[in-house]
Amino acid sequence: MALLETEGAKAIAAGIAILGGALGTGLAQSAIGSSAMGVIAEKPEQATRLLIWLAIPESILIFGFIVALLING
Amino acid sequence: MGLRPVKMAKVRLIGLKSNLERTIGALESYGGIEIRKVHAKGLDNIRAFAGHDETIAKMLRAEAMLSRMQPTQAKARMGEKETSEFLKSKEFREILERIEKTASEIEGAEGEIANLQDMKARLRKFSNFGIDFGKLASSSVEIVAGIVPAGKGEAARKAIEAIPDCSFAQKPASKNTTMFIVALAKGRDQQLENVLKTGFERVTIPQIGSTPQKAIKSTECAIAELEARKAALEKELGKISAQFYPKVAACHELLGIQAGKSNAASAFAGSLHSFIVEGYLPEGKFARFSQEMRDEFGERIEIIKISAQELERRHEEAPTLLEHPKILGPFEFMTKFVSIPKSNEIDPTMIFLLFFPIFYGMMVGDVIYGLVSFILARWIMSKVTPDNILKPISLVWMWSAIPTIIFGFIFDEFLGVSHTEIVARFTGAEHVVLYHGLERIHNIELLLGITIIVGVITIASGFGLGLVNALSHGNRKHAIAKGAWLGLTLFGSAAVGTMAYSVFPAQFLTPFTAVAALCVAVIIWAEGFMGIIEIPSVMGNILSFARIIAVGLVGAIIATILNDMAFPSLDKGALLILLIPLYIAGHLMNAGLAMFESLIQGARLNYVEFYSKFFEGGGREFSPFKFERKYTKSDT
Repeated sequence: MALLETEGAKAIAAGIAILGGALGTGLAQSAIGSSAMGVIAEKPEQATRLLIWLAIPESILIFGFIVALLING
Repeated sequence: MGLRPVKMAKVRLIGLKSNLERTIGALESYGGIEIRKVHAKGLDNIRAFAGHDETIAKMLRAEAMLSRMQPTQAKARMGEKETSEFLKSKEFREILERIEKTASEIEGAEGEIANLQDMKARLRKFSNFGIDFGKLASSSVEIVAGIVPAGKGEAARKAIEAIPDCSFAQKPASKNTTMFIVALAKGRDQQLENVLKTGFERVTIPQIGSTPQKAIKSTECAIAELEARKAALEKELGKISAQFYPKVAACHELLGIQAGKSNAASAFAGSLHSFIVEGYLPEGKFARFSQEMRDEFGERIEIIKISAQELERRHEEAPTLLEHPKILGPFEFMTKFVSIPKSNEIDPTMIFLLFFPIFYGMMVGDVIYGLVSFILARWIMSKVTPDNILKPISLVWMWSAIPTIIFGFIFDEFLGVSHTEIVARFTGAEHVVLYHGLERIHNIELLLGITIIVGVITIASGFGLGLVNALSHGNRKHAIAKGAWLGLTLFGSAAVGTMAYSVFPAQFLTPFTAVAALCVAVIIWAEGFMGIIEIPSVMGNILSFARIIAVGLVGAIIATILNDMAFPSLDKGALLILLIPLYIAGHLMNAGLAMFESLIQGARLNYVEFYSKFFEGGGREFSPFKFERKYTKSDT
């Protein structure tokens, strides 16, 4: 239990927050990315527009980042 | 220029059918009205003009000719009458025939050259034999040729030797293959069965009356002659193109215009003697349009105007015309990139211009990177064609370089380090402190708070604009809901800020919370309990602005790592040869990444978090009835 009272525990928690966010973002982006590739194969002019869609799940990582900052703050 | 698209009015024209062609000509000549297909009860739509199909056929023929010619610039544009006369002239027919004949001869020569090249390649495989193929023809003996991969040559030879009354010759056909020529009694093809199993692939023996070497030489001569003929024909076509391309292009253009005008007739509805047509045009230009029509037709046309206000009242959607100075072109592109606003809603171009550079500048936030992004954007612009998507994006990068430099000074970041450190590193002058900036790496929590405040302001502005939109549409309940969301965003954030971070004195907490609760009650009244579900989404939207500091920190930390590990200081000695390009390339790559990522994230903050609070989109862009003229000019 002493571990949980140390700065190290905070760092681990912050790491988990970022890791969870990153995994969630990665999973969502992998689905969007593969679908986007399908669209680009048929309509290459949509490529730039799809970049915005690809950026949507990055919010999850941003939330992880905020949580990590709050834990360390 | 403003926060709304140009106000569009609808116009209805009723005229005599005998004036139909002239009316279409006058509308095209005016060039500022979008014709809309009329669907009127009891009236049929008018058919395209007589000869429409013939015009299309002529246009396609001219198009086919143009594709064979080499484009040349027109010295002067041809008038419609002049082009029309040229179209009917014997000269035009003769030119088309000459082009067709020359192009077809070129195609024929190309086909023959390809055949001869193929023949030459086949002959090469037999060139090692030195046999006169003309003497091989016999009524009792069949000659079979085939290629075997190098590793299977021995097996094939043994299989051939096993065939009774057969003789053969073998020579290398290429580096990895062997060619066999086998002579066997006619009608004994089945004896080759075992040979074929070894990988023996039959090859057609060329029909030549000499040795392969001689045949190759005569083929090469024939190819050279055909090449010379083709070159002469291409020169001839070049001459015709130089002389007649603009004229043929003018004919094609005029035929396209005639076909377009003829087709436009189908948008008109008509009775036996009269027609009716509808269109949209900017309301401010109606008086000029009306005058032009009166000048052309006098009282023989009825012009009815339906104002933008009346269209709004009828919930009729007009096409959208965005009007901005040319300088705002790239930001207009960013608006159209998501969706074209409806004609009666707020045009977010100016809003994008206001918010995006701030988001972008805060994310890149480095003086040197700002300068680099400006130069990189200029360079990209000089390399791409005007219709390339990178052109407007580069312009956005260029404009956004200005706030990037400003925020760079605020954050005191020059290649990721403070001005004091950069001066010390490059000049050796220590302790040069001109001011104290808000360095991102050392002020994460403060800047996180600032980005959240930016988020609150942006989202509140979005709801404010939504309120304005709803009021202008006369939708009071929707306007009240937007007002309540605006209040909840502001007072809810203030309450949370006061409670958690003491942003305001503690005595404000109760009134802030009360107003926020009142706003929630209004939202439930206006949108039902489903409205409450949106509250976490709005909170998420506000927190999403933390990406501004997150993306910015990534760039700043990469820059710091480069400075720590690859800074080419003089004490590094011979390593400088490696460090200098590594340092420059590293920072260039980091600047490029920051430009790209900040563009995507900045645009996303606008499109997803901000626009969703007020923007409907789904409008249809105004497309006036006019034709692009490059080779012809109107006679009127």
